[in-house]
Amino acid sequence: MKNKLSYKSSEKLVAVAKYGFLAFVTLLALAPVVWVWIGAFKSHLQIYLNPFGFPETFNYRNLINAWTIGRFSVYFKNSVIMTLATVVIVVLLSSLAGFAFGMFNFRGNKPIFYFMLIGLLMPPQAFIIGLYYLLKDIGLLNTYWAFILPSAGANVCFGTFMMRAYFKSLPRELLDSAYLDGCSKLQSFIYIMAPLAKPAMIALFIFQTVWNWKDFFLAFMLIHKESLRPITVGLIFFKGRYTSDFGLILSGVTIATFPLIVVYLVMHKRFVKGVIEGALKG
Amino acid sequence: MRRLKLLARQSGIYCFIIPALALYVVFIFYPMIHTLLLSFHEWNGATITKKYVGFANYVKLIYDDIFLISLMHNVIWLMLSLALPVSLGLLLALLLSEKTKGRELLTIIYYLPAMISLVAVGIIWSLIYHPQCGILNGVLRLIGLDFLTRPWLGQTPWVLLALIAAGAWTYFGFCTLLFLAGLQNIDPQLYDAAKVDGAGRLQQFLHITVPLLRNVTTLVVIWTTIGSFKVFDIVWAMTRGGPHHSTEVVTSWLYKQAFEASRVGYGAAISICLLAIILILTLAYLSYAERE
Repeated sequence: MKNKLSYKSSEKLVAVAKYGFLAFVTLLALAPVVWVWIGAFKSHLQIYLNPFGFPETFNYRNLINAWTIGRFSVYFKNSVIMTLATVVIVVLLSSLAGFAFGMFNFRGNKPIFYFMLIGLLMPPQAFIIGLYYLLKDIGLLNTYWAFILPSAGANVCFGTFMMRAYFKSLPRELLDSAYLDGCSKLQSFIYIMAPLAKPAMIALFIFQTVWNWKDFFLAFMLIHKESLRPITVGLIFFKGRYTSDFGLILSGVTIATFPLIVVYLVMHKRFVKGVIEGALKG
Repeated sequence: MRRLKLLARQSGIYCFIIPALALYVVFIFYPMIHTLLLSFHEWNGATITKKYVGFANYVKLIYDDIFLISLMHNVIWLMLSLALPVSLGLLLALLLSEKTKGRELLTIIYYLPAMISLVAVGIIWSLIYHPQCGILNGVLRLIGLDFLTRPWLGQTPWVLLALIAAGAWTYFGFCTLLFLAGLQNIDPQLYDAAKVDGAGRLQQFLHITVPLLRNVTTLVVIWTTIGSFKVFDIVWAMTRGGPHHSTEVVTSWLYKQAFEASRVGYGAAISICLLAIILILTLAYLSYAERE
């Protein structure tokens, strides 16, 4: 009896330790974000005097200043355009290529596919210098395309890899029957295979949206025009300009982080699934 | 199968591949080759002619103290990333894979920092480390550990650790997610059988969990390796490699050489070096993990 009791209480202790630890990590994960978001509503003085406190009055001026004078409205628009264009290209081209690699036997299937896999491992650092001078030569430097085309080119490797794996898992008989019905390859792709691959395409879409929205390196290197900066590049220059104004910087960070986190919280199931599927297959 | 082959032979199948392939070749692969060629030249990026210098740029690398220091910082980054966020991710995944209240909510929260761009992460953390109004010094003062407060981004051994900690903050959730997915793929009956055989928790972990998690572990290690050698955004947002190169990493040095000092050929050599390191480490680890 006594033994059983102590066994139970030690189990309880383990549970307390476990949940205590999980709660501590939760705090670590959330505190910085919450601190920034709350700080965006504080005045500079308040941040200095009382870094932890809630704002005495909710002060929207910093957010409005960052959006207008800090030109985050422009950066935000640029990020939306560049992300959307890249993601649409990647999902479309990867699905087409993944369909071909995954469902057909043709000369060069394996070699071409492995050649594209190299792109999966290649860090942008490895091609950025050549890319810079290529874009300069063809006059695309400092345009949206300077981000969209290379980013799509790099991500299409991952996308093709992911879509190929998905198409491989689909039954080939479907394709056979489509062929017997007189469908061309393109028709069978559009009417039969693409709808079946929708879950993978959505996962890829989400994955790519997050990656491209967060990307800094390519845009920083290839777009030097202030009016074309995406939000990440805008943010780093913004911080340089207003180093001493905490409230304004916190507002800038809030504008840069809030949208994606809200989308994430609303659609978390798809995100988590997408990450796991994308990474485990990738 | 034969029909599919026939179908493919009607050609046209290449039309499905060519758009993706072309984009990759023109904007990724060809620039990489171009970078490789540039690394054998001396060029300031402006003149029409480039001077061929053979392997001179690579030889210079060996004698470039700052490059070697940067490389060492990347290695430290990798080691500490394996030690901190990766093991934390594994631990959290193990805890969450047991019966846990609010598991779904917790995974959502842990992965939330990964939704923030690394530039924003860098800025958030440089505010946290701020000597006067940052929360780190604030917390230390609050609990009476005033003597530990310091300008975190101004002192040599601390600044690199501070950056790595910021990196760990965005990364551990990803590791947790992957390990958790791996753990959930393990058949629970295996544990039941082990219990019947009298295996303790540690034995179960060593003989069931570890081997069956191998694929996920391989993936996480490779991902961490590539990520640690690629770091740039966080460093640039927080310190730009300073003070006095104490947080210089290979990519920040590459940028400074190729784009700020206009030593394009030398920068290209750093690029190719980085690519070689990543490929060699990845392939070496892969062949090691596959052989076992």
